[in-house]
Amino acid sequence: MNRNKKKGVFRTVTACTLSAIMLLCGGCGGPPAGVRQGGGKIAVITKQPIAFWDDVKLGAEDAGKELGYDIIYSVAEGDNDYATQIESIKNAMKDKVDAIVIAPNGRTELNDVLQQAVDKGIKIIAINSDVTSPDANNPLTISLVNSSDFDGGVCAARNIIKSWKAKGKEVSDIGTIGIVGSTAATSDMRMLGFFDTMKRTLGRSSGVEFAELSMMGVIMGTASGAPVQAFMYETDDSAGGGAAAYGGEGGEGGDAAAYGAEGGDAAANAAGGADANAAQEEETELTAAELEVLAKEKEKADADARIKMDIVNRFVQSEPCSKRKEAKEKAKALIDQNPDISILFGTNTNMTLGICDAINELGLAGKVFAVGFNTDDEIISNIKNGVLQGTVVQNPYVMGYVGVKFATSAINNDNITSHLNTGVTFVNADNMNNDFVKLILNPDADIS
Amino acid sequence: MAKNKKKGASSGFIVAAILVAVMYILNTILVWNIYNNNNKTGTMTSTATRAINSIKGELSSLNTNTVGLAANLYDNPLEIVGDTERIYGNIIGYEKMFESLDMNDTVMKRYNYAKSIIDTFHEKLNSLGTDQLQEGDAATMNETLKQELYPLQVTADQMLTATITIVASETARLSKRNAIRAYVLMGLMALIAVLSELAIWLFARRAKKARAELEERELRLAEVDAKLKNTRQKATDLAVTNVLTGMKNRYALDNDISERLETGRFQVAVFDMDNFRSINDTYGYDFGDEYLAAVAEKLKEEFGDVAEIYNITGNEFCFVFNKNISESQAAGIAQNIQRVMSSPYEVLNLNVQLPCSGALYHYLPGDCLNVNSLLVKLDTAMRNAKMNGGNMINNVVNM
Repeated sequence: MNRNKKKGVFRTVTACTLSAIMLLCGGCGGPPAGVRQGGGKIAVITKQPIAFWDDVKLGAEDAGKELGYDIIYSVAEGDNDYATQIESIKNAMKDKVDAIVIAPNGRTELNDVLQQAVDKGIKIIAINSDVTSPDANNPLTISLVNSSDFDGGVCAARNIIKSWKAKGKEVSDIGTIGIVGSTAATSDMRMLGFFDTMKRTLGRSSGVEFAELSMMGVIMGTASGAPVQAFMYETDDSAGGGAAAYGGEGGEGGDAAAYGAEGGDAAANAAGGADANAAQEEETELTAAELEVLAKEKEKADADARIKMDIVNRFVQSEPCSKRKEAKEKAKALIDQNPDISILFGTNTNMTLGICDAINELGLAGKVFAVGFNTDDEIISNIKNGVLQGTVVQNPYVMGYVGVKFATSAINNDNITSHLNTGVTFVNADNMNNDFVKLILNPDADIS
Repeated sequence: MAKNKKKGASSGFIVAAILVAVMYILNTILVWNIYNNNNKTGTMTSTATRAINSIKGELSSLNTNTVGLAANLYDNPLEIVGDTERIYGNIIGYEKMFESLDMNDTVMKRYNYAKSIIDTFHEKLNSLGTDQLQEGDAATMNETLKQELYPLQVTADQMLTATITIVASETARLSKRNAIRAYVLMGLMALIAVLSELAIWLFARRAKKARAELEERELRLAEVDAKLKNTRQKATDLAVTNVLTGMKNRYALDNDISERLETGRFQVAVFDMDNFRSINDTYGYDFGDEYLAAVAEKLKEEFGDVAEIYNITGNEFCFVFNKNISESQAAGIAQNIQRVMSSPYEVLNLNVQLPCSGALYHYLPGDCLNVNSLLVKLDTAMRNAKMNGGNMINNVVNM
């Protein structure tokens, strides 16, 4: 009995030892080294409580969840409310966040408090728009993630022409083009992009080439409309009567407005003509042939200028408004005053819906082409009904997601690009069921 | 009972052996499982990372191609556009590679997002190839590239990078879970080891205690046994001893010489008081008893050395002489016995004296069949003596 017991003890001890050895051999692989674990905090601060920023929030939160960071989200009251944003940045510092992803409401107003955050080692990522850093060589923000409003306007123009052509019509058939702009800060850049592309496409179809629009300040996708206003309405004395007014009777401030500023083609050409006259007087030694060439050139330039003027004159713009009802009235007025109106462009959700309402009311669906900006259920149903040819959408979800993703990279001191363009997408009846478009319209859409 | 106990103990050992075996198998399965899981996770992660990085690479070369197209770098742009399909085919292959892995919902959500962008990128690229390139509208193509295509490529790239990050953190999570499982298993095994040690210790202690109890019981049993033996001895003694005189009784005689009757040769004699009844009648039985005790004491003292003395009835004593006592010696001793018995005794302060008679028998082998017939012969001879006046010794005459 005693011997048996000893044997049992021996067996048990052996078994346990062997198990332990097996465990040590099998279990000691351990987690692979070098895998980063998140666990930090990132503050996401956006502009105003509208659907666009809700999607940004959704993207930011998804990124936080997936990449292992806590997201502290706050939104300002409106797109000029930087006091709330300053408060949010201060709170973020109190919360000891690792990074701040911000859509700044001001170009410089947040600089002081952002500088404090940078001094505390907090990484700043700008989304949608950037701040103007006091020291360009040492910017406050590491990266800007946005999509350009100007590009959105360009996209709208390009695609509405595509729709136009798809209906078997010629670009030269395009009559008056109406722009219903909103009072929102994003509006001007969108209008400028639309106008510039439309103008040049029409010009090309008529054999004239408009000069490249200077992209100074445009490429930054500025939210401020001031310089754009100048582009569109500036009165240039040197151009005088040669400069064409493009605003129709319904167009606000259209009287005698030069359509191009820095070397806007019509103005430049007019000025060029004046120069040629002066040369004729001063340079008497020029041969007749040369004179003839010059005269031909002048003639051609004059003809081109007339064509360009004519093109520019086709654009009519209503006074900026913000309500859907107002937009509808403005659109109706544009249609009334311009019987040959071919295309209407709305610069945001309300403007787009106002245009659709006007077209619906006047029963002009399919006759007057409409292109809009942003999306909601009504806009989608208008596209389905053929009232709206399409709408330009940005991808706020991706903006929020990539903003947070860049923040995590910055926290880990990984290299990130200083600017990422999240792009714009033209949504029309053809691509509405495309997975990507579905995701843009509803980031939670199930596409698997 | 002891046998039962042994059986219980051995079945306990069988159970223990089975338990150890089960423990082994369980341990092996679990360790194998953990090892396998780690392996699987590793393979999955590397495959996923390779697939995603390849997609990223192909996307990037697609983008390079298109940028080149836009910048008019190629002599035969349509060939480059054709190459797009080959690259996109590669992408589809890598997508299939990734999709064959069993990834969780979070990873798939991010991956599907990236995939939807890639699909859109491809569609857009196709439309570029067919529309603008053939029309030669380089400006529009450039714009589309810059504003629509390039953002798609970079956002797809970001989503793919995010997918890798999520896969990596998922791997880390799985590895952590595996590590925890390993630790839990180790802990469990350690617990089992400790418990079995404890069980063994308890078992040993109980066995020790049981053995101690057993020993104690055996000891008690031995005591009881001894007592019983003693009692039995006493009972036996009582059966073969005359209570009054402390001498062996008739049964003892029976026991002692029965076996000698067949072959034995010895001297045997019986004596009793003549008219002893008169003492009982005169002084009472108690007195008679005391008197007999005194006589018996005296006889033991005087003749214990030469004969075994039995008090076979009330006042009758039987003497079986030792083997070395001859016939003549026996006759002399018989004379002495008669003298001692009939001498005066002081009993309860009274002097009493009674004559006695006896019979002497020189026993030869086979004389008697049993003790009873021996005693009948002796008694008959003694009765003859008494009938002849008593106070004399009669010899048993062999017939």
